[in-house]
Formats: sequence, C-alpha cells, structure tokens
Amino acid sequence: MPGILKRYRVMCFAAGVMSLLLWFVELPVKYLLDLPEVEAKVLWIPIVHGYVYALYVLATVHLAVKARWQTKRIIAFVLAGTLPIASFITERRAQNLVKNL
Amino acid sequence: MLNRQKIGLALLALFLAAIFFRLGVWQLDRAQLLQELAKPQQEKAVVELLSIAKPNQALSTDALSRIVKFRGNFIANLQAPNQEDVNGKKSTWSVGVFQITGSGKIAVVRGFQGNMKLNETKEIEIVGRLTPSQINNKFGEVRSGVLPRIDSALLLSDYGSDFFDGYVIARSELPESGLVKVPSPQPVLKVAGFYWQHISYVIVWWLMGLLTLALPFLRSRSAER
Repeated sequence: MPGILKRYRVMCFAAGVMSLLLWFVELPVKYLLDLPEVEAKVLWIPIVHGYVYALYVLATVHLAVKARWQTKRIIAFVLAGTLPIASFITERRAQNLVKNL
Repeated sequence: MLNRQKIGLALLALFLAAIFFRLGVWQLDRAQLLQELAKPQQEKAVVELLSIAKPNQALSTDALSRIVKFRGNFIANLQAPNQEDVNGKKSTWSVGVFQITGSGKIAVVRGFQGNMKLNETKEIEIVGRLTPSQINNKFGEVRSGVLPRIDSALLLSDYGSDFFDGYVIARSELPESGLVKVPSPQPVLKVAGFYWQHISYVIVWWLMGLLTLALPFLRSRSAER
C-alpha cells in the first residue's frame, strides 16, 4: 500500500502542476492574448497534461481498488485531476483515508 | 428487483462507455486530420475566374484560394494601407478596381504601393490568387481613394454593382504594371491542436470508457471483501 499511495501522491502533484499550467498559462495565452511566439513556447503544456492525466487516472484506480473505495469517491478523485488545485486536496484526503484503514 | 437494478446499471455503464469510446474516436479523427493537413498540398491548375465564380454571388469553398485568370481593364486605382503580407511585412498595397470583359468587377491587389506604369487603356490579363474579402479594418481613417479593408462591399457605392465576392492578389499582370507583387502562397490550413495532444485525449477517453465498464466489478469485489 505505501508504494501505491506514494505513486498516487506523485501523480497528484504532477497532475496539479500541469492543470495549473494549462488553466493559467496555456489557455490564456491561446485564447485571450494575441502572442503567437509565446503560444509556440507553451504548446507542450496540453500535450504533457494529457499524458499525465492518463497516468493520474491509472494511479487513482489502482489506489481505489486497493483501498476498496466506493464508486462515487473513485469518480470524484478521477475528476479532481482535471481541476487546478483539486488534486492537491485529494492527495491530502487520500493520505488520511489510507491512514484510517 | 435487484436484477432490474443490475441490468439498469450495466446498461448505463455500457451507454457511458460507448460515449467515451466515441469521444476517443473523435479525437483520433482529429489527430489523423492534422496529419493529413501537415502533408504538402498540391496547387490546383489555373482556371478562368468566370468558370468558378459569378458576380453578386458568394464564393464557393471550391473557388477559395484558387489561382484564377481573367481579362479586362482597371477602372480605378486605390490604396490599402497597413496591410500585412504572409511574411508579416506591413505596407500599403495598390488595389485596382478591375472591370472584367463582358462580366462584373473585382478588386485586384496589384502590388506594393510604388511607381506604376500606366497601361489602363489596353486590355490587361491578370493571374492571381482568389482570396475572401477582409472582415476587419486595417486602417481607421476614412479618406477618398483609401480602402480601410479589401472588401468588395466597400466599392459598391462608388463603382456600382456586379462585383465578384472576395478579391484577387495578382501574381502577374500583362502588360506589367511595374509594381512589386504581394506574395500569395497557398494558404496553410490550420486546425486547433497538435497530433500528440489529440492522441493523449484518445488515451484518456478510452481509459474513462474502460473505467466505466470496470467500476461495477470493482465495486462488487470490494463489497465481497
């Protein structure tokens, strides 16, 4: 279990950072500012975010199965990876839930 | 009663999984479209303007960006300031109002503003790229002989009706006008996104589909334990 939780926490951090970059850097540059040069420099963000999120989903499901979570909680934790700070919150929550097992 | 609930849940899971799978296919199609567009497009053959467009009619998608040729005379020469070419160079363009022999009128970008040879009395042959009218003004000041944007709608009041939709960026003018031509390469079609970005979304959507199908089993396994 500690290894699975550690993997989940790492993925929470990665997904959280990538979501922050996506929401507050890439999307404003692409849709609000007319800066093609900057846009070219941040085009890696959505690509990396996509793959990191896929790994985050796998890590969440792995932890959820081992910790025997309810379906609602699994769905909420999976969706948390799409919001900027939600994955940081779920990382804390998951730690507490696993501790109380 | 319990069986009904299970069947209902299974159907819901299948329905959601199908939606996720379809979303993945949609992203896969977009990725393939991007790959197709990245391939160099072959320029179509030069056609007579009158064979692909008519005055007072909107340009068809097939006519857009085609290299066209036509003959006639210039009836006016105007300036279009603050125009940006494909290389990002901003300058004033010389735009002529061209009367096509036996047909309507069309705006023709003759070249960058400069000293022009006057051939206005002779019949002139133009070959150039047919381009949709500009929507946004490039120049704010309203002056006689100056176009804030290249749009046939702005020419109707001064030069009458029967205008072709769009305008032509001349590649050649016979006899020559002496102006340096504005570059008009084949436009590159752009679709939002990048190939590997769409592939990552394919993975995410299909992963969601698999998760939807697996969730009822994960739940029942947890319940058994």
